[in-house]
Amino acid sequence: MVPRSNPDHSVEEILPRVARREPQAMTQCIDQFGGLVWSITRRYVQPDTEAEDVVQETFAEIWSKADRFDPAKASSSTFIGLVARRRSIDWLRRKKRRPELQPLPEDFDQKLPAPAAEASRVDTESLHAALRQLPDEIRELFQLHFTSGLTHPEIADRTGLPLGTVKTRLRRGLISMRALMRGDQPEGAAS
Amino acid sequence: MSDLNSRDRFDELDAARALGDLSAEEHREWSQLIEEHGFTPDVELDLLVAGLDSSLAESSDTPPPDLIKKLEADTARFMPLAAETPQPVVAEVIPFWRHPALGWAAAACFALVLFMSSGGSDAEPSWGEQRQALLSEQQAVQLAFAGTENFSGLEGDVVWTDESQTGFMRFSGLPVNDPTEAQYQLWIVDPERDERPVDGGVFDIPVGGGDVVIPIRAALRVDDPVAFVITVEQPGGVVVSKQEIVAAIASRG
Repeated sequence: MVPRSNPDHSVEEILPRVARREPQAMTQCIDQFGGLVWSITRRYVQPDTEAEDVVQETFAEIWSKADRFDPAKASSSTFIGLVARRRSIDWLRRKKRRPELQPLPEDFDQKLPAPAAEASRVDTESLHAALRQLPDEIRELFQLHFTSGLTHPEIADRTGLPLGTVKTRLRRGLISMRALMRGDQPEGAAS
Repeated sequence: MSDLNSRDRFDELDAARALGDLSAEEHREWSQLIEEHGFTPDVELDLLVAGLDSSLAESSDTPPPDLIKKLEADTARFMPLAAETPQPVVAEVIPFWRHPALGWAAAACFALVLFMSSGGSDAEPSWGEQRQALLSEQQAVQLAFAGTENFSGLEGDVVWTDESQTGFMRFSGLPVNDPTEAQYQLWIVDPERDERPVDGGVFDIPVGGGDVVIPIRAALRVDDPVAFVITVEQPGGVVVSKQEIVAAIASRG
């Protein structure tokens, strides 16, 4: 989405400005991240009328929790993506009566790993660097899931892999990503 | 299963949780491992998934124009300093001549005098009149408010319809507030929608209050409200209430 306004402040300054309750900061936040939140929400929530409600809830939560955003731990888009996923999964759990879907706890932002300890900052650059180190077959599944937005059964159809293998590879690929982001050597990605 | 194997298994299930694809059976296993071994879900995995979601997405769709308008309206509510500052509702005082205790005859006399002196009026119905009209709708729900310990003198009710998403509160005995110190805020509880209550609007009780009527301004759609809660909040209200001071509750059953 192309921002409707061209703020003088950098994108990474928007959330801290929302936290400081600066005038127009929330409007710029919607301009900048509305498309991202809408895209993530629609992956999980249908119909669109319901997705719209979840997007409203997401921005309400962003407003109330912007002061918890720590640029040392994640980029703004990651933080906002986290909130959008959380609210979407919460919706799925409520509407589809699927208790196995676990949204993050309410105080998830206080439990984010300390940057100096193990985790490195989650931003586009570090994610792409970690992705490049994954085996091709895992990277392909990540791209089909996150880039093309395919569900796991759709990925199985597309690749001809059994559904169980798709799930296992994505899970173990994520664990490998975590190790790479921490600077550890991942234990051979799944097959 | 050894502790090492348990840890590996938990990591795999926790990754599935972060990816949103735990089956019901796996969820039971995940919960059992937490209980037996004290493992904790790793938020770093959620952060990674969110990062991948936002970094790898091919493109972002443009939200519908109506949604943008709603978000902007929300923003005005969130941010009192924003350009379009919403004003809290000041309760409408019900004129004493309409008070039920006066009886029909007295009320009719006052109404007649008022009508004659004004030459008749086609002005917008007052909130009290709108509330009365809403009450006559078949789908309208009416619930009585009960004051909490420090607000035991209040009486009132709420009238609400899911269909039109409109409603009114009526109070007598709700103390006057100083808007620079604190304001009243309504919360609508609808567990089917969310565990968090929906903001129903900020309002003030003016000096000389007595019997008052306040319209409800639900920030989000509510379809099956089970309770309406009045809290006392900081000026401008809050997005999420800690419910430290609850003034009154109206609930089903």
